[in-house]
Formats: sequence, structure tokens, C-alpha cells
Amino acid sequence: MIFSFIMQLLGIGLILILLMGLLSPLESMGWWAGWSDVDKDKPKVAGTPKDQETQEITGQSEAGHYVVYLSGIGAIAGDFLEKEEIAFLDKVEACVPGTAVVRDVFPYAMNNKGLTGHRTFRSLWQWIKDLKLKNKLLMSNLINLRNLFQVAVSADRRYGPIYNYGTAGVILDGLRRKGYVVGSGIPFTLIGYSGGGQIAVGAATYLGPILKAPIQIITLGGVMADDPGFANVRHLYQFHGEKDPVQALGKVCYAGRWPILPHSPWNIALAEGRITVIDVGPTTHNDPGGYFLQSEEQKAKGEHYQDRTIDRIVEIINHPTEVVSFSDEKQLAAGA
Amino acid sequence: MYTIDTTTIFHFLQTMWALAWGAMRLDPAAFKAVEPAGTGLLITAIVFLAGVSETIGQSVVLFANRVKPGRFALSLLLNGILFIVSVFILTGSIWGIAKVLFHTDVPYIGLLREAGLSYAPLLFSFFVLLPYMGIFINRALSVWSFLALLVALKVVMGFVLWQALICSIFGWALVQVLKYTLGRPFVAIERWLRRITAGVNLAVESPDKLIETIIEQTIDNPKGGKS
Repeated sequence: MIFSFIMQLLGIGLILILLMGLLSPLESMGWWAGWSDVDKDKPKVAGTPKDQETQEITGQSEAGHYVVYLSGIGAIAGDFLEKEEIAFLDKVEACVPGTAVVRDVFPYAMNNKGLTGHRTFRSLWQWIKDLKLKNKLLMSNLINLRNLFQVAVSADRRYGPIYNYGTAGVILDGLRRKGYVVGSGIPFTLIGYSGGGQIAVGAATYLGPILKAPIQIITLGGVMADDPGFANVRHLYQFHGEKDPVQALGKVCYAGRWPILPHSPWNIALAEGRITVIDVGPTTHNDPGGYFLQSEEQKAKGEHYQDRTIDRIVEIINHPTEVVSFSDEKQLAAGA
Repeated sequence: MYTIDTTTIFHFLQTMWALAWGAMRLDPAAFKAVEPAGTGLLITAIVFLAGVSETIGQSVVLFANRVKPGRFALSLLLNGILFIVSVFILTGSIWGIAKVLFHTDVPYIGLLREAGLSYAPLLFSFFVLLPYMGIFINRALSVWSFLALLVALKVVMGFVLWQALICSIFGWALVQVLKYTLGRPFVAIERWLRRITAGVNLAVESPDKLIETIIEQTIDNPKGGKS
């Protein structure tokens, strides 16, 4: 009796997951086809890549370098980051004077409107957000699942070209809010945590030809496919924790990252020495004890992997047009 | 084993699902069950729905060409109809090959029903919509449908496996040859039908060149881009 009930629940759960998966490409596809009213309330100056491209260059960018932070699949909205992410960005920002840090980009929608914005299931996401704020995290898995499917959409060769065009526009909007002038050639860095890594590489497909500026990407436990966007990435720094099994998903799930396909965008970037893997020590994918927040155990042992990660990221950001080397980094061989 | 009952819509749907499920299980009895006349509408419905399902699965092409919602629905219906036409053509080709190579005397219409039923696995083509897994599902469904065709040929023609394989492979190859030779006007008509149904020029025919198209439309030549 109980077994049958559990099986029924599992069945219903599986159907719901399949349904979420089937519907996941429709948001970006509908946006591209003009089915949604996403652009209707959008400020004219902050538009899609096309708007950026056609805009006349009237001045110089306000900062000498720009950093855009793309959160992981647990993100709810651009204006809602976890407190450890905020602390991390605050520390980074304090160490890179003259660099503007964009931290209000929601990388899992076409309009930077978070899950609690004007959406069909707004109330559901708001309810989950409220639970999350009360540290009741079970339902947050729905957010993870929703955004995980969006990462899969970005990595899919059928949907990716459209999805990544949308997120490129969202990132451009963020850059412009901080005073970036298209065509100025000012270098910028995308920092992607977890699924944000794939979004960063996907968006580089269009950010490259639009901005014609050096793009470097830093990923923290980044999950990435063999995206064509790698062609436009000057250098990728992949920080990975020894206890983080999630970041290896991209390597396992996407054939283009296997050594047997040497002409995939990932393997070409590897062969050209444009990918550096940096071991951050025995950290996990999620915090505490992950990339941002020290765990109690790490505190007790006096281990400061997170601080060391920040130091290295600062070093990379301060050298946006060079390749920064670290003593214990791993330069992957082609096909690794 | 399979009772053909089309007296009410409910019974029609029930029978249709039973036959489709039988074909998916590669059950020869399901193909035997559609041999008698009077099952044509059931098979037509399965093929039509498989066509609609396939268009849903491949809908990225329609979205990429910015087809409006109403036209999108019409395109689904058109593909259902075109799927029915494609069954007629493929069956004709296989039937011709079987007649020439193995001197079979099975009537064309007899083969048509069984061949149509082999499209049943494609009823699940809408799952191709899934990101990441969709492409694999698409290939798996094609193989599954091909296996169902082999079973159909074995049942209706009394073939052994290698004969069924030869007929289906040569039959498919003949259709491809016809597409690029005698069938060109029909391919042109098909494209025209798809275009007028979609209401836009279907410039993006597959997602393969989508990045180049988007860059060309929106970055290199923004006037031709998204408005």
C-alpha cells in the first residue's frame, strides 16, 4: 500500500519534471518569435544587442574594466543574491578600483525579470522565495530545476543560439547601466557560478562580435557544454573544488568535451591554451564550505580557500588582457 | 487480441491507442489486426497525430522564423497532412521494390495500412522538444519506427528480416532519389505550402546555421533584424 503510494508520487513527480523540461525552451523561443510581451515595457536605451550595435558611440566607458557576475541555478532574480555571493562580490569589488562590477543580472530569463517578476507562476516563486528566506530549502529545488533546464536550453545546439542571444542582451543592458559604451573596446570579465558558466560562454557568442572587446570568463564550479561561444573567449579560468562533483557534469554529459572530438569548440580552446583549471582545494559546490563561504570545519582548521580564491580572481581581473598563471594551476592538455 | 471498435469516439480512441501501443511493442498481432478493410481511418489518425507531434518536437524551426501563434497551429495541421502523404509515397516505393525484387503479390493498399501503423512510435516525437535529451530521443524514435516498419513488412509480405531490410532501405533510398529528380516539383509545392501556411518566409530551415543567421540579421545588418 505504502509502496504503491510512493510509486504513484514518484510517477507524478517524473511527469511534472518532464512537463517542466518540455516547456523550458518555450519562454526564450516565444520571446524570439514575438509571442511574449517581454520587450513592451523595456527602456528604449537598454535594448537587445541590435539596439546596442546601432547606437552611436558618444563617449568613453566610465570604468577601465567591467565585471559581470552571473549567479548559479539557485538564482531567483537579478536583485536577489545569496548573502555569501554579496559578500564575495563586495570583497572583489573593494580590491579592483577602476573596475565596475555588474551584479544585478538574472541569467535565466530574456528580460532580466526574475522569477518573482510579472510571470504566470509569480505567486509560486514568491512563496518559494519566502520559504528560502526562512531557511526552508526543500522547495528551492523547484527553482534549481527550472533554472537547470534553462542551462540545458542554453547548451542545446537547437535552442542555444536564440537563448544566448537573449542573455547577451541582458548582459549588455547590465554593462550599459554601469556606463559601458559599445564599441569602446573596454575589456570585460564574466564570472559565472555553476550554471552561470554555461550562460557566460553562450552569451560570448554574440558579445564578441557586438562589443569587439577582449572577453575573459571566470567560472566557479562552472558547468559548461562545448559551446560555440568558446571561439570568442580570450581565456577561461575554471576554478573547481576537489569535493565538487557538479562541475564535472559538463565534462560527462556533453560529447564535445570528450577527447574523442578534437575539433569541438571546447577542445580547440584547450589546444590553444585558452583554458586554465585552478584547484581551489577541498571545497564543495554549495556553501558553506563551497566557493564563497567558509564552513565551520574549515574555520576550525584555519583553512581559507575562499579568501585565496578571491585573491586569485582579483589577480585575474587586474590583468584583463593577459593570461595569469598560478603556481598550482592545471593547464589542461588538449582533449583532457 | 485487438478488437477493432470505432462505434463511438471513445472506442475509436481506445482502439487507436491499443493498436499504436501494439506497434510500439513491435507486436506482429497489431499489424495483423489492421489488415482487414475499415481500419484506414484509425491508421490515418495515428499518422496525422504523429505528424503533429513531430512538428511540436521540431518547433524550434517555426519559432526561429518567427511564425505567429495562429500560423503555428496551422503548420502543425499541415505537417499532419504531409505525414499522411509521405506514407503513401514511402509505401509506394517499398511496394514497388518488393514487387520487382521479390515478386510479391500483396496489394498496395494492404501494405499501406501496416506501413502507416509503423509510424506509431513517432506519436512521442513531441518529447524531442526536451533540451539536451531531445536530439537523442529523435534518433531513438526514428530507429524505433524503422523497426516497426520491418515488423510490418514481415507480417504483411511474409518476408524474413533481410528481405524486409532490403525493401525498406531501398524504398527509402528511392524516395530520396525521387526527391532530387522527378519529385522536385512536388518538393517545391511542399515548400510553398509550408511557407504560405506559416505566413513567413521560412529562411531558417534548420537550427544548424542559426547563429550565423542571427548575427547577420541583428548585428551585421540590423535593419533586417528583430524589430
